Amino acid sequence: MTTFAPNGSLNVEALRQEFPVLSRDIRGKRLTYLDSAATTLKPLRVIRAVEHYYRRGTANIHRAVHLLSEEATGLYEGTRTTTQQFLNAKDEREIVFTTGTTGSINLVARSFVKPRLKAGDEILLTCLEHHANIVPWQMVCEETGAKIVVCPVNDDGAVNFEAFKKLITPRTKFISCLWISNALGVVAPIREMIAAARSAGVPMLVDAAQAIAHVPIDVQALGADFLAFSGHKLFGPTGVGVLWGKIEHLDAMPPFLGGGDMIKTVSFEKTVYADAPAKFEAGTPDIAGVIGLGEAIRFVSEDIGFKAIKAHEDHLLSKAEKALGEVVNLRVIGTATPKIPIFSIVMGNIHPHDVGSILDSYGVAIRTGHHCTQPLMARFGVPATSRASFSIYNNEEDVDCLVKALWKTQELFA
Amino acid sequence: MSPHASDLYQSVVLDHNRSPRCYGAVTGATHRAEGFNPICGDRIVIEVLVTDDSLGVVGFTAQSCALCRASASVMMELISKKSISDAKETAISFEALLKGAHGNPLQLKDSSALAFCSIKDFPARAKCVLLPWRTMLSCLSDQTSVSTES
Repeated sequence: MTTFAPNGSLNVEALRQEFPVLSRDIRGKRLTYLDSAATTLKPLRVIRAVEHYYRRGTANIHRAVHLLSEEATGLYEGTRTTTQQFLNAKDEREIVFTTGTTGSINLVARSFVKPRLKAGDEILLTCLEHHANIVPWQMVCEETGAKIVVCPVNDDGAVNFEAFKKLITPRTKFISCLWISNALGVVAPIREMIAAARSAGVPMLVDAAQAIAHVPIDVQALGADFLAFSGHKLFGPTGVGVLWGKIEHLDAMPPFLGGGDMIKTVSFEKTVYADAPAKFEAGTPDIAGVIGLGEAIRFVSEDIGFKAIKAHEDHLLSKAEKALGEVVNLRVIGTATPKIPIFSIVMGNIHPHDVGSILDSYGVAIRTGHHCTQPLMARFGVPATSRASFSIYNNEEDVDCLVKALWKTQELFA
Repeated sequence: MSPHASDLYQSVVLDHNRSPRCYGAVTGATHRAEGFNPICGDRIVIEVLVTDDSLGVVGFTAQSCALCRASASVMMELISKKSISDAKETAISFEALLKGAHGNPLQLKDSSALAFCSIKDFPARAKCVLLPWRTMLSCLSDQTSVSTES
């Protein structure tokens, strides 16, 4: 029994009331928000939690003994417990709060992977990766002489798993792969990939930035070593994210940033670091963001549930696939299954930025460009695409508005 | 009335996009510059053959959106055969026009450039329209490349 899916199926019209942005007029039109792969909208439950912290509960955490500080610390650490349960992590010390997926990946790259690298070693990625899961690895490779190996994708956007297995060699020191492609919506065979990494004894990170709002995650069942996600792609605030790591890894890793809150004792001669996860949370964190993230997780798990999310998104996927298939001169890149309702669209010679501007004037918000996946765009021979990405609050009318605006675009450039 | 994309994609813009003027490389070009927008990947190359301080032959090639391409095409019409200093002044006037400066600067009077006035309602696209002009200025100042992000 959940608030918005009492019978297991999502009551999307009731759910839409929870997202105040949806009631905004965009250039005199209803908002058709199809940019959730970039960032999801925020529900009232999250907005209120963040507002409450600033309005009634402002204090720093882990410091003072006064009531406000105790409350703030309780809410902040409460999110750690909520996140642990959400991911089914073994121990809440395995949950590190970061600035987002990018921050999480950089932490692992610097603190876990770099000390293990020497010239000639390899880090295995896939062609689907977001720049956030490419550049940090390039940086540590430049410093160590290691190199990046890229697993190819097939013409339908699927990870070439046979190639993936072959690319794991004795030189492979780390594997870092996304679970769901932000650009194409294609789901990688992550369980099989993790199993292949494990049987070769290579540690692996899962970039769950896009997956986090679409599939249930059980890190113990998955068996990877690290998993990273951002709050803002899970209906939570921007600027906050999570790194889950096996506690034995986190315990063994040196800190990444030095500062307050990550120490046991400090003298000018020597500092003793705190244990994980505090060791990785130097300085005053985004307290309101973490509190909002906790609320976002409870919103997803208590008010909706992944079963209802999947059923709803599958429905939107098939409806949108069919409707887009009828638009002339339109091609969707990334048709492999399984996939979530993200559509990377190419419309003949019409540049994505022109598509984006015209759609915008019909109130349809999409992302145009390379989606921080330039190597993937190059793989498909396009500089950019127009990406429509759906989420829980989208309805059939959103599909209709998208398709209508795409037809208008065709007419204008015909 | 809310601004609409049809204000931006006027028939003159669509026409220049469909049939760009002076499209192609310039044989024996004396000046050449490449403009790049790293945010969207748009790329434009402008070539000019300067003779006796005037832009004798101008040309461009582009992998870009319609606005950038149309803006380049309109620019070609405006600067062709002009002196270097007139061409530069035209670019400055054009930028002022996009920012909503009062009155129509003389160089742009009654020209197709006025079709881009509504860009002020679509600030996210201003860089697309300006890229050819900034590239042309670089080209005439003997710089070989320009980016919207520098």
